[in-house]
Amino acid sequence: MIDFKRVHLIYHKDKVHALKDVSLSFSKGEISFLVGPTGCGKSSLLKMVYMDIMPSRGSVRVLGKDTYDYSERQIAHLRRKVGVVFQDFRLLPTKTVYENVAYPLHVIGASDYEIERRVPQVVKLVGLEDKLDSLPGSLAKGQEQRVSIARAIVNDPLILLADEPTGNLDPDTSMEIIKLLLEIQTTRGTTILVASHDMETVKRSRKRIVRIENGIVVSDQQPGFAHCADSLEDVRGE
Amino acid sequence: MGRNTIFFFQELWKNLTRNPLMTAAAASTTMVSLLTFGLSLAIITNINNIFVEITSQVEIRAFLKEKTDNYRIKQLQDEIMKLSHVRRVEYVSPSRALDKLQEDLNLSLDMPPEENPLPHTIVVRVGDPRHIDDVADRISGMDDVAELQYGAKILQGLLALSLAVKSVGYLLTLLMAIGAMFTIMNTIRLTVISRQAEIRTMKLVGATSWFIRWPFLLEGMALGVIGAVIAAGLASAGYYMMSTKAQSSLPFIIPIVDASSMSKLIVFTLLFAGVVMGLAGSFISLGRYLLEKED
Repeated sequence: MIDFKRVHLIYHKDKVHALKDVSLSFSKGEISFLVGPTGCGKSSLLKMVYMDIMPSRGSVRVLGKDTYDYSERQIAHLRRKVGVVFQDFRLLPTKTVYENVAYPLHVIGASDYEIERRVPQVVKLVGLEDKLDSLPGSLAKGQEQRVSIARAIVNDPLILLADEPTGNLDPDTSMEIIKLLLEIQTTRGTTILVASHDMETVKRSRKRIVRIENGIVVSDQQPGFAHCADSLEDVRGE
Repeated sequence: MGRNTIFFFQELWKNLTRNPLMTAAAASTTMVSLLTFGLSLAIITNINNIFVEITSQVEIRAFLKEKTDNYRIKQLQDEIMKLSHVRRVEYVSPSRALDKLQEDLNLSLDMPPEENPLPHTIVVRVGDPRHIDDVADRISGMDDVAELQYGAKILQGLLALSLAVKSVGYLLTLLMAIGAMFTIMNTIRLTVISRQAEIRTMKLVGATSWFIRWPFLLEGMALGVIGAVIAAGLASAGYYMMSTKAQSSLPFIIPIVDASSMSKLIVFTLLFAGVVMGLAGSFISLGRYLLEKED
């Protein structure tokens, strides 16, 4: 579903070698956590999946096609199959919760009937059914995060990318968000990639954990080996 | 647009009503630019009209040989009428010319017809004064035409002046239009800049450039139309007042374009300009932001 092959990423502007020779593969329906300190390259990996940035060397294949082979229009269409929960939420500030969640459905040209059916369902799933008419500015951080998740999953994406979905949230809310992502994975079969530095929460999920440091993959632990993550204490809270 | 037409119009309505002060400021700026454009259009149209009126009154007077009989005069009238660009042909007999002369000079000459020195005259009006030389050449070549009289030099001077004034006027009007477009463009650019982050998010959730562009294009068009309607109303009302006053104080001197024709011209031109400039302004302002990528 997603393949990184010997990927290098260099930010020429800042002269930073953000990713070095990264090779990773993520299968359909799998949930994986990318962990590591801030600035280690987790977000860059996610951005390459939704083609906000392109690799400097190597190849990234998404849904069977090299990202360099996507045209501008095809990128727009691919992004409709890739839900993204942004680190800074990126909600449309002048739109209500309902309108924010409905936006990707308008983008794919869904009918009014479909939008009226889907949006309340998804908003209910993230537990914000009483906030449909609220503007993002009036919501708490955790609620904004939930709206961001609802918007990312409203059109049943094949891939869900979450960039620090628990950042700045208290442990209980963080665990709720992770549970929500796990529920989406099990009920919908969505391939999910979560970038996080919240080791406590990640360990408790007992899922695949890819550890990145200074742009290099230092470990890739398969599901069930969560106890090994104890050795990753050093990356917590960076 | 397609399936999303209703959504785009809903977005337009929300964008216009979300911040009424911003919308009012943008529409007012657009209105002032279009009003300036409308007024310069009214001025140039009137200057043009004055020249057309003056030059169209220039006529050719063909004096015929003394012995020309009535049958030949009628033949000549028909021949001249058949020439291209000739609009009107009128015969003035020597006795009528004498009556007119006496009337104009307020004289009473007791003169027998055989002593009347005035010749048979055919007065010719040309539709487009630019062709008057050509028509005069053809008439002067006809038998029994003794002499031609028309203000060739004055006319040529007038036509040259008219061309110069028109060129300058059109250039100024064009500059006004370009100025209006830049104002509209910058007004819309402010809206775009304030929503730059939003535009980026729209792209990241899979919106195509056109999906993002349409509400902005409609917004630019709406601002153009609102500005144009108010500008056209003000310009038409102002023109009506000025033309009424000018006509009552200077009834025969300046041929002013009537208020109704001018209003139609102003309304249609400003609406068209408002729509085109609003669309073009939005399109150009947005282009850069749709291509931009975040580092």
